[in-house]
Amino acid sequence: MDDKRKRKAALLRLGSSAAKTGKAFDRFFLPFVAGAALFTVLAATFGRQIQELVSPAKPQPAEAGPKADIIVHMLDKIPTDPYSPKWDEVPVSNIALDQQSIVKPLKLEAPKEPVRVRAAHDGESIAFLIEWSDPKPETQAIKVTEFRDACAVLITRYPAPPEARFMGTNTVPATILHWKADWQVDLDEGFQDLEKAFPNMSVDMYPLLKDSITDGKPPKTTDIPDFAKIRLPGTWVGNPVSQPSKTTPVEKLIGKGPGTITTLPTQDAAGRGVWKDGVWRVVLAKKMKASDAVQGEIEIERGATYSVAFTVWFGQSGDRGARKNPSGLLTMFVD
Amino acid sequence: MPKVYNWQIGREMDYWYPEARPKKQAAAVFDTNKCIACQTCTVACKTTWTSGKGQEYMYWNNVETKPWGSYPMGWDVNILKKLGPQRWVREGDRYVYRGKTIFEAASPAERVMGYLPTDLDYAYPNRGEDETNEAIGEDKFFLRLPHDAWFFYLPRICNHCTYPACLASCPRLSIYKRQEDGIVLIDQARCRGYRECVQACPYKKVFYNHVTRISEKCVLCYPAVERGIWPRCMRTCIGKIRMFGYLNTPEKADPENPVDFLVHVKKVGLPLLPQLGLEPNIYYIPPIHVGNISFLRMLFGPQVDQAIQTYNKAIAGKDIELVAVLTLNVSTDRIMKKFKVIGSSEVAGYDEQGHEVVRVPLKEPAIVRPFYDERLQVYRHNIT
Repeated sequence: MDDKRKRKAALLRLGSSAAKTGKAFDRFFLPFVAGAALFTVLAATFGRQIQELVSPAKPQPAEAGPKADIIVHMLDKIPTDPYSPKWDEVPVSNIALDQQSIVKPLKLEAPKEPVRVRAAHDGESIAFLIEWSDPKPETQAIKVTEFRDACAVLITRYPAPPEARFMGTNTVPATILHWKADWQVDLDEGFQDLEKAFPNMSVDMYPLLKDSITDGKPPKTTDIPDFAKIRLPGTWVGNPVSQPSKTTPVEKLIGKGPGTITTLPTQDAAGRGVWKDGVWRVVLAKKMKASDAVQGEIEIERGATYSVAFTVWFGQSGDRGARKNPSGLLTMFVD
Repeated sequence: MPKVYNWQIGREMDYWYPEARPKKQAAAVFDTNKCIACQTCTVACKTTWTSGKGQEYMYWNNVETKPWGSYPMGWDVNILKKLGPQRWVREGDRYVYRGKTIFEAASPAERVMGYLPTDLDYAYPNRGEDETNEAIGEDKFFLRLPHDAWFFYLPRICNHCTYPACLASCPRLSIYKRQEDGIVLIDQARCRGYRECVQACPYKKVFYNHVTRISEKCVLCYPAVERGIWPRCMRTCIGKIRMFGYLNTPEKADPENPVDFLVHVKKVGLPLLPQLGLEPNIYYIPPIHVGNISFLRMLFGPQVDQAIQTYNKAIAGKDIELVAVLTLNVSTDRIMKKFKVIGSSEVAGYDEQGHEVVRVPLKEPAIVRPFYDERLQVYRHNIT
C-alpha cells in the first residue's frame, strides 16, 4: 500500500465501525450514509424557508425564549383607574431607572428608588401601571420655569438593539405612550389657563377678541372661537401640545431614534394618573391591535415577547425632553 | 463638536453642527446714535405678531436703555457672568477672541451654556429707562463728547445668528435656519415646549407661550422679506436708525451693498456680544457720546474705538459715502442690494433686479421763514 491509500484507509476506519473490517461493503454503504445526511440537511433548510414563506415565524413563547422581566397578565377587563383593586391581582416588577447619558442635554442624576411596574391585558387593550415616589407633584407648565411630571412606556419588537431604548431606531420603530401631568389636570379640572399662573393679570385688548374682554379679564382660551386661534400659533397649526381641549392624558407616539418622536394620527391611548401621599400612580393603555400600523405602531399579540422601556420625568428637577430617567431595555412577555 | 469659522471672533470655534451658511443672510444695521426709544418698532411687532393670549409678555422687538435697562432683566449681565472674564488679542491688524464661546464653555452634559429667566425677569421691560450711568452732579459735563453721564438706547430683535444657540440646543430639530435668507424659525407644529432654546439663547429672544406651551420667536417678517419688503419693526422706524438687507461674508463683501458697506467696508456696524460666538446678524453703530468705552467694548467688541472714529468723521462731513448710506436708512420699504451716490447731493438705492427704488438728498432742504410774518402779521414759533 502506498501512503495515499494508507491515509484513506485510516480515515475510513475513523468514520465507520464497519470500516474497521475494511470490506467492499464500505464502498457502497458510506456514500449512501453521506448522501442521506446531505439530503436531510438540505431538506431541513429549504423546508424551514418554505414554511416561513407560507406562515411567518411567530414570536417565541417565554418558555422557549428569554426570561421575561415583565409578564403581561390577563385580566377580564383592564382598569384605567390606578387605584382599582384589580391591579392587586397583577404582580409588581421593580425597574431601576438610569441616568440619561447618551443624548445631550444629559441628565446625570438617577433616582435611588426603582419604579414599580404592573402590566395587564384583556385581549383588547394592554395597560401598564407605573408607580414612583415623588414628594411634590408638578402638574403645571404655564410659566417659563415650570416643568411637569411625566412618564412613558416604550414598546418595540423583540429582540431589539440596545439603542432602541432611546425612541427606537430608524429600522426598529418604537411605539411610545406618554402621560403628562399637566394634561391630566387639564382633563380633571379644565384647561390650565394663563390666569391660573397669573391670577391678577388684566388685559386691554386682543385683536379679533376686543368684544370678549370684560372688566380687564381675558376670555377663557377654550372659548376662543376658531377664527381667532390664528393668534395661538401652536393651536392654529394643530400641535397636540398646544390644544386646550384634551381627550386623553396619554399621547401615542412613534419614535425612530432620538429627536424623532411624532404624534400618531389615531389618538386612542388611554390612562389616568393620580398623585397621593408622595406617590404617582399612572395607568397608560393602548389597544393591542395597532390602529396606526402603517406608521409603524406595534401590534401586541398573546404569547409574544417584546422589548420595553420605562421613563420618568421629574418636573421639579427641570426634566423635559432628553432630561429624563429611562430604564434599560427590558423583555416583556404577553400571557 | 464640529469646527466652524466665525469671522466676528477671527477664528474657528466649536459648534453643534458643521458650518452651513445660507445662500443669502438677512441682516440689519441699527444706528444707536439715532434711536430715541419711541418704541414704534416694539409696537409694530407687538401688534403684528404677539398680541394673542399667552404672548402678553413677549417682545420680539424691544428697546432698552443701557447701561441699566435690560429685558428680560439682566440678560446680558447674567450670561457674561456665567461665562466669566475672557479676552480678545490683537494679532497684526485684527482682533482675535481667545476666550471661550458659550458653545465651548458648556458643561459636558450640555450643548450650550445658558440659563432660564424667571417670570419676574420678564416683568420689568422698562427697567432702567432713561437712567444715566451715574447720578448727575454739578461737576459733570454733558455738552462735550463723550459725555460724563450718559445712557443710550439699544433696540433688540432676534439676531438670526449664523450659529444660533437656540437651533443647536433643540433636541427635536424643531428650529431651522432657512437656506434662502438665513432667517431662523421655530416649527410651531414640531416644537414640544422643552424650552432648551429659551435657556440657550444668550440674547433671550426665544419666548415660551404660556397658553400654547411651546416656544416662539421673531420671524423677521419673512412673508414680507420673501417679497423684497423690509420687516415691520424696521420700516416703521421713525428715527430712521435701521438699514436692512443681505450681508455677505467679509471676503465676499460688496462695497455697493449698503449693509456690507456699513459692516465690512466702513466697519461701523458691529455685532452685539460677538464673544458669545453666535455670529449674530443684527449690527450696531455704537453710540459716540458714551463716556465709558470699556462698556462699549464689552457690548460690541474691540473694534468699537475705530467705529466711533469713522462715524465722527462722517459727522464732520469728511465721509460723504457713509453719510449717503446712513441717509438711506428707512428711506424705502424695499430691500436694497446696491446704493450709489449721485453727484454729491443725492443717493439712490436699487433692489435685487437693479431697479431704482429710492432717491434721497444727502441734506434735507431747509426753508427758513421770518419769525414775524409781515403779511399775516403773526409770530412763528417754528421758523424752519
